[in-house]
Amino acid sequence: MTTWIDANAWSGQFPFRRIAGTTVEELERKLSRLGFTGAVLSPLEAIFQEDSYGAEEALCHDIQGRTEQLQDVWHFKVVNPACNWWERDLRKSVEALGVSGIRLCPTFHGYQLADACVADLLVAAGELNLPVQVMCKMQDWRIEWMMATSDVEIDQVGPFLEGAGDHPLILSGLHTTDLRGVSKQLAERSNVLVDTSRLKGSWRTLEKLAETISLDRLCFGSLWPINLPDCPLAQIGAADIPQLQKDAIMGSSIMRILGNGPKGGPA
Amino acid sequence: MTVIDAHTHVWLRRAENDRRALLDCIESVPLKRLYVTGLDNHRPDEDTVVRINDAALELMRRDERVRGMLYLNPRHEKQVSEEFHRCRDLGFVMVKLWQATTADDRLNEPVYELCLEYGMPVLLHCFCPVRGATSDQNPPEAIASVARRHPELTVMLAHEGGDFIRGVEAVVGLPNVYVDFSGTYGERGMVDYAVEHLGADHVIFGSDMPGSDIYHNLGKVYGANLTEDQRDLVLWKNAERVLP
Repeated sequence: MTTWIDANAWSGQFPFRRIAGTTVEELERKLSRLGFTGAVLSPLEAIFQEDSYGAEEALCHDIQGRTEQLQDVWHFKVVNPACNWWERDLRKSVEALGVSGIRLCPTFHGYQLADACVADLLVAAGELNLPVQVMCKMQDWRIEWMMATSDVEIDQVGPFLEGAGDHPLILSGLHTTDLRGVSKQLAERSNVLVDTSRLKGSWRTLEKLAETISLDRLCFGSLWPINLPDCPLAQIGAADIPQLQKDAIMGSSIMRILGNGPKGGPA
Repeated sequence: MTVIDAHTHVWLRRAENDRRALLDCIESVPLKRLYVTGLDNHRPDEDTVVRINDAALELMRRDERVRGMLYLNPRHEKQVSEEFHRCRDLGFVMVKLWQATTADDRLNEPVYELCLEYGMPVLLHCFCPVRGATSDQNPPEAIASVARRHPELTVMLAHEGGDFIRGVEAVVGLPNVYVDFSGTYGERGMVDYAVEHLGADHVIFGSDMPGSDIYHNLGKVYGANLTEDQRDLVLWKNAERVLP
């Protein structure tokens, strides 16, 4: 069976815009209809609530009660390392909820990748054997109608990758042109993947990207339910690249990171 | 699947690359028709305006499916009419205004008058100005004001204003305004919101190529909750009906 994983899925309400159908059930329906077999999932509320553990707990419950239209769901916990209680919260989430990874949202939480708290988090992630996903951007600044977020400084991404050593990382929300700035670090590190959520590109996007980075460093990510998986899926489907590379983007590359981890629910 | 792309560009600094990409796109998708305008900087001088239009003209000459949208900088008041007529004689069928002025600037009035006189629609760039962006990003409210002042003028509002809720809401009830959802990052609801509030007959497919992959933009249509008839309207029938 072909493995298709959406590495950048969310459930729950995005506070800036009413979006219909944001439950785990809707996610499963949408992705399975498109042919996906799995998703990496976090609750959107956990970005915006100071006491976010409850949102993670609720998602854990929803994942356990899901209809299993998706074979695999990995629960990544949203961590804000700028909060003084993040580590206690993270360890509790690993023990009680069985989370399989960490998502960082610096654009909403107001820190930069070069900050000391990120280095501390990487140490804890290493101890807990949890991959770390960085949401470099979740919304185009031109549609931020109420609250302007800061951007991840692209020149901090390279040093961040170097500082993370061989820890498994996923970079989400990078623009096609951003990849030029980190192509050297990506070439040297098979532990780092970039998702497709903001690679809107130009014409023959993936064919051109292959000149900058190895395509097996890409993984499918949609940013559902804020964005549509149909957009990157259409790009990948139309791309004139070998099927093996499409398979890597759609699932086999991310499975290198997720393969041995738990899949949601208490351990 | 039939598709008309009503919003593409040839950038002057990489014109030949863009022309080749657009020709490849026409063949590969394939497209029934493609509308193109040249672009350079936000306020090009008079010579550059001519070169911008010549860059698009070169593409029009290479494939009969390409239709030209002539670019004007309304700040060059003396050039506007001359360049309009030169391009019209060369076969351009629409006008495109970008960020040299805001849509409701008095400098734009001669352009709108020419469009009305010769029955040409005008494509107006639109992004809601936020966080330090110049006002010339063109707020949708400025475009709505133009559409109200000129009810006979056919107006295309680009990118649904970026902030698609504000962009669409600004032009609700204006039958002479059509929106495209070109560019942007595949926001869920962008096509649905426009269809719900403006009607499927007022939403037109555009990609913003080469600034955005056409397949990425087609994905917005695939992912929208549309009937087959609505999808055809958006993908090509509206463009065929409304645009020359």
